[in-house]
Amino acid sequence: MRRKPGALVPLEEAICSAAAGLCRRGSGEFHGYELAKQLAGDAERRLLTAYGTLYRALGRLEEMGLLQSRREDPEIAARENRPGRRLYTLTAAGQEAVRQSVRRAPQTTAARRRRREARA
Amino acid sequence: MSGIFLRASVAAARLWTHIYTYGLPSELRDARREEIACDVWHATQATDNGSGWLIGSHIVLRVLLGIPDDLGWRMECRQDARWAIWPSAAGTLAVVAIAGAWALARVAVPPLPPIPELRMAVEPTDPPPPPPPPPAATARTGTSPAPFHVTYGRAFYTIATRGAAPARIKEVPAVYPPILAAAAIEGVVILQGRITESGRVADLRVVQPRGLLTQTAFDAIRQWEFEPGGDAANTLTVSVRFARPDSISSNSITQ
Repeated sequence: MRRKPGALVPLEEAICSAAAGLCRRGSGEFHGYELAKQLAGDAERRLLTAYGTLYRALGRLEEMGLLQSRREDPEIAARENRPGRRLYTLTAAGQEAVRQSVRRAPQTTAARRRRREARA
Repeated sequence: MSGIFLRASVAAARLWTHIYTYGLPSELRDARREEIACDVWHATQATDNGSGWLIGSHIVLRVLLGIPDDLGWRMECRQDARWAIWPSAAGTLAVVAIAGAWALARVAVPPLPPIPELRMAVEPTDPPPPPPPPPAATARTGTSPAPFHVTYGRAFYTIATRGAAPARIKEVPAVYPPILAAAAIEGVVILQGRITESGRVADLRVVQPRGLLTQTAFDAIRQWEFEPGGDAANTLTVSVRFARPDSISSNSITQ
């Protein structure tokens, strides 16, 4: 998808919104699987976002400064006998992007409604 | 059974991740592999995800749907190498080829029919049927076919000697080729040579040629033999006349 400079594609907006939702629920840091579950829940679908699509988008958002990530302490993963996690945090820029997205959403919804009524 | 499918799905996700991250810088490669492994592990551990079949299907679908982005991400990571995608593509093709070869090897090949044992003994067989009788006389002529005639040239020889002339003990007639006779090619060939002490003809040369008849006369006369012990200077001169049987009947021999 061709994007405008500084604009987010829908998947990136959805990721930021899902990350904001996780933060509101008290998960300041989250890993990829948590985020995929949150995305699927927001979109009310069962299949999670594809691995390649999700982690490529997370990498882009991190480059844009909307997300930050760090590697989990390996001792914790070893103690719980599971693979190590990469933990993401929504930055201030990411929270601002979510607010702008929310502000645009009613306008977008109203525009869609007008187009639908015009076709009808 | 669903457990096997789930494990196979996890292995497929891990294999694909290893393939498309192969050759990347270690920090990128390890981070991506660990991230996918963590995601897959959480998917298999969640109790609300359904049966093993469902979880395995979701993992496979997530892998398949993400392949374009995986390859695109790899190209972004290796922008210095324009064709860096090819190692992954080659690895994928190799895996597919190995799987295809394995599947082909599993296909049952029908056994070949047994090779019949070779038999060296010769079994007696019935005698061959008698040859068909010769065809009847043609209605065109109404008579039996003419016997096959071999015609020879008629040879006259003289020996120039200072003593007694040796007697001829072996005469080989000169064959008159039928094709030349049919073509009415006639004539006289004269040859001259020397009679050696052993009685053989030597230094034979053509005095008077007659086309194709020369060679057949030469081949016959050089096989002549005379009584040995004569003078080595005895000179033999032979005149061979070739004529068709209907013109001279006395010089033909019927076989």
